[in-house]
Amino acid sequence: MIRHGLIRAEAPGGAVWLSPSGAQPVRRWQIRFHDLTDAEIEALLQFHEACGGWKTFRFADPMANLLRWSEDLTMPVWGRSAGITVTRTGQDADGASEFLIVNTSAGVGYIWQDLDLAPGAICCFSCELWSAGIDQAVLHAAGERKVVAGAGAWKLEHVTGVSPGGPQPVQIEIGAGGSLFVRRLMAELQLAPSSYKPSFEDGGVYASTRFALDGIRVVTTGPDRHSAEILLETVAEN
Amino acid sequence: MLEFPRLKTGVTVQYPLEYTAESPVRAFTFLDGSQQRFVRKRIRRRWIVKFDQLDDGEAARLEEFARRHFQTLEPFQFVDPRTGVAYSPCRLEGGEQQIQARGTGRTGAALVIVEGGE
Repeated sequence: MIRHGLIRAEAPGGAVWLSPSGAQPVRRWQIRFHDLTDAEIEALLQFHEACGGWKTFRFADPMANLLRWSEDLTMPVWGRSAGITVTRTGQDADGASEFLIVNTSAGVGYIWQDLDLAPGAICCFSCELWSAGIDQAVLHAAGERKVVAGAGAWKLEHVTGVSPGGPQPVQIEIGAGGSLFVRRLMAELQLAPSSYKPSFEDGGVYASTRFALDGIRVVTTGPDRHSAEILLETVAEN
Repeated sequence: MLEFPRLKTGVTVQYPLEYTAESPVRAFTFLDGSQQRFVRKRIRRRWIVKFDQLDDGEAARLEEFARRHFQTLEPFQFVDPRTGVAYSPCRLEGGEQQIQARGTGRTGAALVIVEGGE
């Protein structure tokens, strides 16, 4: 759920003015856990005790594209090594933007974006790419790398790794003089890529998230078997 | 201090066991929508214990325990079966207990246990 801030003023005569508050929208997630082990529920309860409803923490939306500006690789949020040029070439039938990345340098070049993920988080970085020649690229995510060859047609490629924790790049590496067309870049907390979700100024990692309710409810249904439900909320300030 | 009764098998509760931990927060909301939050009270733990298929002896012990507690408001110690941690003092919430007799050896009951005094 996304709630947008409004300021409401009512005059004595009953007239009502509404205007945007200018505040960032508040996002909420209702998350239900089932069949958790003793260790898992204890970790969740200890985290809730440490943070309560007052302390904020970083949260990566498990259903979102974690990248910012997947629809515009020319934005400053994308880092580029020297000699890498990015040009928007058009869009596909679904409206996803396509880009040509050229490495004009004599060395290996990169285009990347840093993600701040918790240790142990599974990160899958995927994109579709094609190349007119035999150019190769290397996809990097969470310490894993995968060599992919540009085919004559668009092809979905992905690499999945386990986050060591902290800011880390997801990136495409292109050899000296190489060029590739890319589109539909996505990073997500999944083992394999899901349907592409275009992203713009907001990514899927929220730096200031908190428990929206004061409490947490756990139901133990058997030995080493628990369920729980939490409500998180954040101000989209990333 | 009262002792929370055990069933014939030696356990204190049956599944499902419901547990809630609340840490009440006070929040000041400013005009721009931002908030300042701080803790209002310490963590409040609460268990909802439901029993089923109790025999007459077990049901009587539970009833007697609740009756004595509500009459004297004497606190008791409750061991969380999930963690083995003993919480004291604890009390029963509300002023009533639910007992449902469905037949011989088929009595149900429900108690709400709260950590801390009034």
